[in-house]
Amino acid sequence: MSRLYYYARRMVVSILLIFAIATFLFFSFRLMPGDYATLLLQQGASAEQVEAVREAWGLDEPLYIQYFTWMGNMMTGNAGMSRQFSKPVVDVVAPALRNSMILALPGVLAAFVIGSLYGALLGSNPGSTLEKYGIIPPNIVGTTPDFFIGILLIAIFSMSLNLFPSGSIASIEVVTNNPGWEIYLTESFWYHYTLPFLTVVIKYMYYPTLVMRGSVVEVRNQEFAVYQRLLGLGKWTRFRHIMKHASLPVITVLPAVTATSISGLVLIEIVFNWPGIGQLLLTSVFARDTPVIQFMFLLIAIWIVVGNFLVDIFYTIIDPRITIEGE
Amino acid sequence: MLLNSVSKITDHYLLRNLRSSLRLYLSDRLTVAFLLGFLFVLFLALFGPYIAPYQPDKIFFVEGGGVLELQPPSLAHPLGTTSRGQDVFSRLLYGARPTLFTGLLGGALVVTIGVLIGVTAGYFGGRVDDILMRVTDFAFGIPLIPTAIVLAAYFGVGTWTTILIIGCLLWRNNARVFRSQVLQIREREHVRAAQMLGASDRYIITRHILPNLGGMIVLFFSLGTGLTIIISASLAFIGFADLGIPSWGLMLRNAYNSGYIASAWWWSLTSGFAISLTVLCIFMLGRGYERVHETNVSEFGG
Amino acid sequence: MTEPLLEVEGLDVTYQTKTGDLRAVTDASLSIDPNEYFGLVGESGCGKSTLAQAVTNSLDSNGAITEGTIKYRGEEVQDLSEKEYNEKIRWKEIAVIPQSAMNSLDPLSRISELAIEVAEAHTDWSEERAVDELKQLFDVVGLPESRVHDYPHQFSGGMKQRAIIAFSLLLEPSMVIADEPTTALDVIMQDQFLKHLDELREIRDFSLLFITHDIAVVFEMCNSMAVMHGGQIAEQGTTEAVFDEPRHPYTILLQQAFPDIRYPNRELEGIEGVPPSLQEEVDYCTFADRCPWAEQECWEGAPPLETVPDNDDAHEVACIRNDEIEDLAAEYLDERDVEGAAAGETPVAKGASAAADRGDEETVLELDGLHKHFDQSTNIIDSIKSRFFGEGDEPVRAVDGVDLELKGNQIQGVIGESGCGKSTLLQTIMGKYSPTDGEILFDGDPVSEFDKSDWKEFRQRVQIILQDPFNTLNPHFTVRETLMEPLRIHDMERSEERILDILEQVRLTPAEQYIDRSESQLSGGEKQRVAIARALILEPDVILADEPVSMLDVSTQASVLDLLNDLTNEYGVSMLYISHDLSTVSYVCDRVNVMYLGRLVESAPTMELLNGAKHPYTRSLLQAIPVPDPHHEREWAELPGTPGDATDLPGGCRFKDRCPDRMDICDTKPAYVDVEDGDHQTACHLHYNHEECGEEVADTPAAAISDGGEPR
Repeated sequence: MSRLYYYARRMVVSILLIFAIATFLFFSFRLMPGDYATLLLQQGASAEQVEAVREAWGLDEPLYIQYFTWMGNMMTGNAGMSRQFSKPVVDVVAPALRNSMILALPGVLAAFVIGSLYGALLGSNPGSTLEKYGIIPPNIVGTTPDFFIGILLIAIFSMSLNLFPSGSIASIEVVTNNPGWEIYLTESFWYHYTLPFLTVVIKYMYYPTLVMRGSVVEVRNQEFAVYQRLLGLGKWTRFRHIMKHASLPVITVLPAVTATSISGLVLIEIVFNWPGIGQLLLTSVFARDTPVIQFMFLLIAIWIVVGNFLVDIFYTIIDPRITIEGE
Repeated sequence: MLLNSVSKITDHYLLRNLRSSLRLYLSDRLTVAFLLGFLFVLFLALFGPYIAPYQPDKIFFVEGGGVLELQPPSLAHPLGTTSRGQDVFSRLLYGARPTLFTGLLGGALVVTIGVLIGVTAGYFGGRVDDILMRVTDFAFGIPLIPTAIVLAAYFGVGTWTTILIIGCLLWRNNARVFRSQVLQIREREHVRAAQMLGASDRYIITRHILPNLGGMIVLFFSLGTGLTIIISASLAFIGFADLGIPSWGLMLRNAYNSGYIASAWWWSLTSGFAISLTVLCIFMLGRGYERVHETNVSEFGG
Repeated sequence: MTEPLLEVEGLDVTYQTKTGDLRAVTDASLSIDPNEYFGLVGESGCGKSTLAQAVTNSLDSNGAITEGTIKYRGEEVQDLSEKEYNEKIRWKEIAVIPQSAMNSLDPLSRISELAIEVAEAHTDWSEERAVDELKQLFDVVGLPESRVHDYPHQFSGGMKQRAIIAFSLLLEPSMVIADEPTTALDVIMQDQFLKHLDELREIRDFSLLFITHDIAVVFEMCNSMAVMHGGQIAEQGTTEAVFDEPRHPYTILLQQAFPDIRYPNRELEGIEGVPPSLQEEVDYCTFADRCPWAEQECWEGAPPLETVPDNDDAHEVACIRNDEIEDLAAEYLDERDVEGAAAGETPVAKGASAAADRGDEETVLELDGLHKHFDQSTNIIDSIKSRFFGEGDEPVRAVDGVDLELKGNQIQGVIGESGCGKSTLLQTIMGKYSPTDGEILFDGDPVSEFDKSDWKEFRQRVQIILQDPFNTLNPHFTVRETLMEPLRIHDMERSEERILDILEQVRLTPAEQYIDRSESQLSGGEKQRVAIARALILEPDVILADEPVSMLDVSTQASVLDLLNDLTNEYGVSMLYISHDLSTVSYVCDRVNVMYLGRLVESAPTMELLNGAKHPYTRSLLQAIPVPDPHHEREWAELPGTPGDATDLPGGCRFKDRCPDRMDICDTKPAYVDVEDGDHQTACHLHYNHEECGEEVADTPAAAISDGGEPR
């Protein structure tokens, strides 16, 4: 089997998985009680108005037709109209996604780098006092709800010390003056960015710490590592070899954690009043804005699937043993 | 006769195993500390309402007629009062029960589904395994909190729905780990010997597989419990909870929304730390198990 | 007299464990001369590896040298810090060959990178020089120089072994320590490994400290040796001296317990008991508990290592009765034979010594053209692909046409290297896999037509004994529960007497003491006995045994083999015994089948197979077995390559690529036919008249078979 075939096969599996998730999303939202039309009805709209809305959105068509229409639209990048904003879904989700990404990606990456290094430090000294008690702080962080970390940071750095603002993405004038991505270049943005970013880093440090610690302990006891100790290789050379192996599991969980972090971000965004997909999700849920919700779920799922695909590819590059003989 | 049967029960292999690992388990001081912490929370959950000086929703007034709001800790109110004049200490004591109750039930549900799927997939293998594992892959594609929010919004809020939602989302990790464990245990020679003897699948699973998963089940029960507490607190924080039950998550929501996070620290921080420390004790009890069995399960989190 | 290279004197090593101190090595002394091959033998846990770790400054962090000295070239090295040791000794002076060469090379880096790193750590060589030196050594150990830049996974197991040897010599050390290097190897690979090590003597100057449990390898390879038991050196001297005049009871009994392929008739005698736990101060002879000649004094003080007076070599022994041991042993062995005879045991009935097959006329289990193939991929996409495009991977032909008849009360062996399909064969008979083709007949009934009640009966009448004593018992069960299990499953009367009785049968006496033990309270040998008891308690007709002794120490191995032999006679049970080790197989089996890549290549009564093997593969297998006698000069088996895997099989004879007698005709499949008297089958073109069995061979060059099939 050639490498190319392996990539192709993995890609086919990934695409199938995305299709499955998309299908699942479509039908599960149709099965949910209380669609937008009923909500309108509850808000006192007349039956004709509701009927008009249904017709406009094709809710009268048979389900399978709706499904194929929806799929076709999705594939051409048309995710429909947002019902609450009366704008294309893509236009609604894009800025929110951008705001979330700029918070989540650097945050999670920093957390992984710092966490992995700390985990490697713990794992390299098994049985020591450092290892025994050093594992407690990451565990405390891991067991603290994300939003409470945010609240603590606000209480300390914002309300008590008055160093940073307690919420929002930038000051109001800046937000109104910079509708696009230029906002990320303003000083006000970075000022507002610090606390939520710190929250993400602290919260997501703990997982790579634990994985890396366990992984280093395990690799240290593998026969090749024992042999290298016997060979008398230098400390750093051995550490390099061990890290090469030990970082594999950490990299494996990276896309999953990034994806989880996007979902966990909901709370952090709410605490910091950050206009990302978490906020958007919450408002959309309250407004029963199904197209927006569906699209966001689909994006998250694609993110997870693509992330796993990339990790698999990455494995074949870093590990020469994988001559692609399957799983 | 009776004595005989009693001694037979106390000598049952599961109990015997439990006793010996418990001894090893308790040989670590740190683990004992976390166990005591957990027992304390359990005690609060059982007896908190009887110790609490006041009803949780009783509103206190100052003599002039206004609400006794945001009082710092004093003798009458050991942890001060909320912005609505309620006693924080009493609310904290009352809050232990719904918090822990949700957690334990959710943990039990998570581990039950995880064991069912993991053991079935691992033990029977083949097509069954393929299908169940694809379902698990699929479940990994579902973002936890957003899904919980959507489900809570569409199906209504309440303790039971929360538990059910969390149980149905969190099993995926357990299922994978249990499956890989069962794959190993299945190849052990005592299992193969029992299969060769013609033992039924049910017999092998109950007598050979599950006992050897025992500790692992306890570990994942503890992790599931902790995670359920965190997630239900999160849901309560954004308002998806029964507002009539004074859980710690809800306390935190009220404190945050009041805007007095820093000034009324006795209100905002106590409930947060209560959640954090409770979950810490539960997690670390699981970690203690890892130490005893020298396994390494760095596999939890959403 | 040259100055010794390495001298260990009065060494004590203690490990601190959760349950207290463990005195792994007590008062050990030995000395190794330059260019000497020195063997250190003992059972697992005897302290031999700890001793080596003390020498190489690589004790686990909870272990420490508490007393004694280690001198290298006259200089004390035991107190050196890791840094000092690395600078002065490691790899430049003392190098190590680890136990598992298979996994010792980092799979993520090229082999040459490791050489560069080693050179960088210990020398001022340039990278080019390090790689050049490795290339030269690759040449020495018979690997192509061009492959130094390969990744480890591109090497076969045997090649990795050789690469590890090359690495040990990279910095031209004066001493190489090999810690159980052959334990995980099949007999053929062990043979190749030993051959390379032996040849290196001629090419390079270095001493070898060879640590192993296999006394035969030491007798074959080494000039001098030491025997360890319970952390103490029991005896040491030249291999000839120790072999000819063993003075320690342990050495004597070990020799009795060790199988020797030259004498399959000889009775194997295990050593009862286990070494002490070494938790207390070791001020007694650690062998005293197991020694038939122990006196009160043996428990009162550790025996000093005394020079054997009538020997001019440095033959030393640590036994206070060493001067009378020879007579005592002779007397004891005689007595035991007499006792055995008086008890009605006919010594002739042991193992293969029954030159006549003890099997009945009736066939209990018959395999008729049994095939088991596995599809390589269970992946949905691949199976769709192969369905629509007709292309797919070749199946793994694990078992590829096996015929075998097991008679009542007969023990038949199936031997072969790992990967030959013997385990799959066993599991197919067990019903774990259903055969791809062919039939299994039990009592004449085809297994494929079994209904539920037939299976139940089959499960009762066919039992298994498996390989690994350490997971053969459920750790949550006591002995009682383990033995109740078969009775419970088959709804039989669960009486305590029956369990006590079966425990007596497998010689776990007094049975009352064993019945309530949990798994962790049993030694490896005891666990395996419980597993045998579990197989026997239903009084089966057939036992399938999958390498039941391969993971046991030699002293226990012998008694378990002996037990299997006795029980077969007593219960009239038949057994199919799977193993890679022809020397143990020969002690129990009436008939031996040799398997190679899914097919049987030879089958004969044990003695006939040992004395007149026909198939070149069988001959190589026999040739590769080390002989426990320093006076015996064994020739290397010279079997190149490895069996390969069962997916990419050569057409015709599967052995042809490794066969020393390869002919043109070997491209066609040889028939599995009778040779000579009809009780001996083999599948080799050398050994049959092709005209009589025409259909297998269509158009073969007549020249190749003109000599009537005699080996060249």
